[in-house]
Amino acid sequence: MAPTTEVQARFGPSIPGTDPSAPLLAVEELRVEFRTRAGIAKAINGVSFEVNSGETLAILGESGCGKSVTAQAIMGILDTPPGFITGGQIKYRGVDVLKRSKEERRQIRANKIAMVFQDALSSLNPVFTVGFQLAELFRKHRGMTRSDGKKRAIELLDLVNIPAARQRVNDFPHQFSGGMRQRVMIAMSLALDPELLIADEPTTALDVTVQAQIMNLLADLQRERNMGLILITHDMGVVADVADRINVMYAGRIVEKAPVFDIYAKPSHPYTKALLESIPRVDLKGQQLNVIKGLPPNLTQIPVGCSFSPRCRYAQDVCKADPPPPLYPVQPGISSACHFWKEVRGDE
Amino acid sequence: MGRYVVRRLLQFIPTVLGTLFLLHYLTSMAIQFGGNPVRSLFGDRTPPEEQLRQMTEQFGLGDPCLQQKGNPCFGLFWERMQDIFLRFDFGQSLAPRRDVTDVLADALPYTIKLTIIAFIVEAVLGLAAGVLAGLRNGKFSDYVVRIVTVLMISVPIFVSAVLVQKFVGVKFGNWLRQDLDAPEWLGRGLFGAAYKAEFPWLSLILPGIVLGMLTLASTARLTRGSLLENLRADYVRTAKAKGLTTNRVIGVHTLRNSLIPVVTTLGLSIGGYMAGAVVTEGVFRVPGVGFTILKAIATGEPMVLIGLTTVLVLVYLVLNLFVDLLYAVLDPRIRYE
Ligand SMILES: Nc1ncnc2c1ncn2[C@@H]1O[C@H](COP(=O)(O)OP(=O)(O)OP(=O)(O)O)[C@@H](O)[C@H]1O
Ligand SMILES: [Mg+2]
Repeated sequence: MAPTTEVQARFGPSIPGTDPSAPLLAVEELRVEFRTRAGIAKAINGVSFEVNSGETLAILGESGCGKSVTAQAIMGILDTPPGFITGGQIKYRGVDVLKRSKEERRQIRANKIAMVFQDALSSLNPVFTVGFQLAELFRKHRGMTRSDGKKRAIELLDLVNIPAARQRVNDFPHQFSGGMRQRVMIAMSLALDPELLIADEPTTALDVTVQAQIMNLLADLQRERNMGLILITHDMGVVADVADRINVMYAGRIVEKAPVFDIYAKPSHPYTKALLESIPRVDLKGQQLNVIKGLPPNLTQIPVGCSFSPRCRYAQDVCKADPPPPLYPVQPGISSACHFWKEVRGDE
Repeated sequence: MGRYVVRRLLQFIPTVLGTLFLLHYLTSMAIQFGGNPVRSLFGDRTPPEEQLRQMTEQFGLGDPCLQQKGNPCFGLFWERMQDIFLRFDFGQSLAPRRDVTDVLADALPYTIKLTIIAFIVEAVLGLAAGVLAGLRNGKFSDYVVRIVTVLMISVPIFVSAVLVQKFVGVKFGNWLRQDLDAPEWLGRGLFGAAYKAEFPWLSLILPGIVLGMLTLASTARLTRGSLLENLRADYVRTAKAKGLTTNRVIGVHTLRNSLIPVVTTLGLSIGGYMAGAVVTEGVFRVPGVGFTILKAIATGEPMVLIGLTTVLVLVYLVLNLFVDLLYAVLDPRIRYE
């Protein structure tokens, strides 16, 4: 039994019932709602996707479409109340974690699925040194001593290219620059060799050059460790280089799924198309930016039909009358939740 | 940090001088309008003029400005400040004639004991109630804490002191003493209506609780609010995402941050006890600093009043400084320049 314990010492206890050949993470028909005084906000309305080891899935959508809520539901850190998962499954290696005990979900968070948050300054505890916050993981989940934990913390800071890690390990989060703090967050998420990393807008708070550094760091680490990576963003530019596939989200639904290349070459959903057109382009400098007109729907009163239809230039009566369109298969690997995907693509 | 402390200590000077001048002016006016207090030492007799003048001089009340109504007596004030701060001479009380430093040394231990009891009551009950309410937000125990604390905040200490004395010390105490024949320490000590020298700690518990209640409610409410606020913080979500146990997420990551503002109020409330002690010690007849001050006001003892108040003001200021420094220790983001 020696190998098992060795594996456990590095990766933590295994979760009973998991099937190594099943997809790393499969979300199926996930539904989340927030029960607030203002009414029930249906934040996630049947989201499905899959991620495998070594693969990067980008989830793209504008603010408020439910990206973070999806991530929190997967991690099991949704604020309940007001947030409730009302349907669907979240399968880690074939095991529906929603049916597992709190303790098992905690073990999954500790050892299997990690998360990087949007705002590193507020996501790190201001009153503990980064060394303490990193070493804590080794101490609590791997039973290491304080000094061994600290050694590992220094190694981690080195790994994410923080200069003078040996000294900086004793600094507090506010003593780091924005980019460095995000590196600390990444170090923290990678500490216990997770199989899946969820990065929720890891670069939104940073300036453009630092954004690129952080994205490259994430991509390198993911490749080295063959992790699955879910990259959440609202910026199409950020994910183009690193993602394999993109899922576009709108008002709590996935409206288009496609490999990165295809989505840039030929979007199949009007929302994706509008997003692409709204990216500022150097060659069209001076022209007016194509912003998407209108606002996303109020999640407490989502209209009957396709929720993008009020803002859609392809919309016809059926879009507003019929229930929201399912994801139509467009091509192998591409699907679009639009009745008129052919027109959008310009195919005949 | 060192420079900050020095600067703060320098800021003490105007505060202390200002407070003491106010007291000095008030007591001087009491003499200017009410007559020489030394005269009262002779009771009904009319003292020989020479003897009276001599004694008045001895008590440091011979300055002619004390006969001119409304004169702020700057010269006398300056002399007194030199006596107190350079020669550590706080003057003498009139009757019985004693050094004010001795009066203070007698009274201080009672007030310190009372303060310790009040602080423990406040810190333990206030924190426990606040944490309980915060963790059970919206549940029954939360409502209980919130309602009880509102009631406690709205009752002023002179009312609560008298009520507790009457109902616990007298009514409940009498029942214990007479009907139940309770042991001495219980009936006369713990549940006595006033301080008893035979039970130097026990009989201070009731007044200590009254004093602690002064700030307990606000401590509980502050703890609750601070905890709720921090439970929603992003770093608490991070701690959960790290797979830490709930105990650790709350006990280490949330509480540590929530308690920073609470520690401040706890420190400042000790200062508040100084004021509360005047009422509590008065009602329960505890011979501490507050009680002595009350007596000094009633009998017109300018030097006792000035001396004891000096000590209270200094304690308050030092506590304030200490709390500020503690804040910097607890919250690494704060560094004093
Ligand atoms: N704790 C909460 N209480 C009530 N509603 C919430 C809560 N958290 C999220 N929501 C709602 O759920 C919806 C989705 O929020 P979410 O945070 O997932 O957006 P997002 O896609 O991550 O946006 P952003 O790009 O701004 O981070 C929003 O409409 C939001 O109002
Ligand atoms: Mg978000």
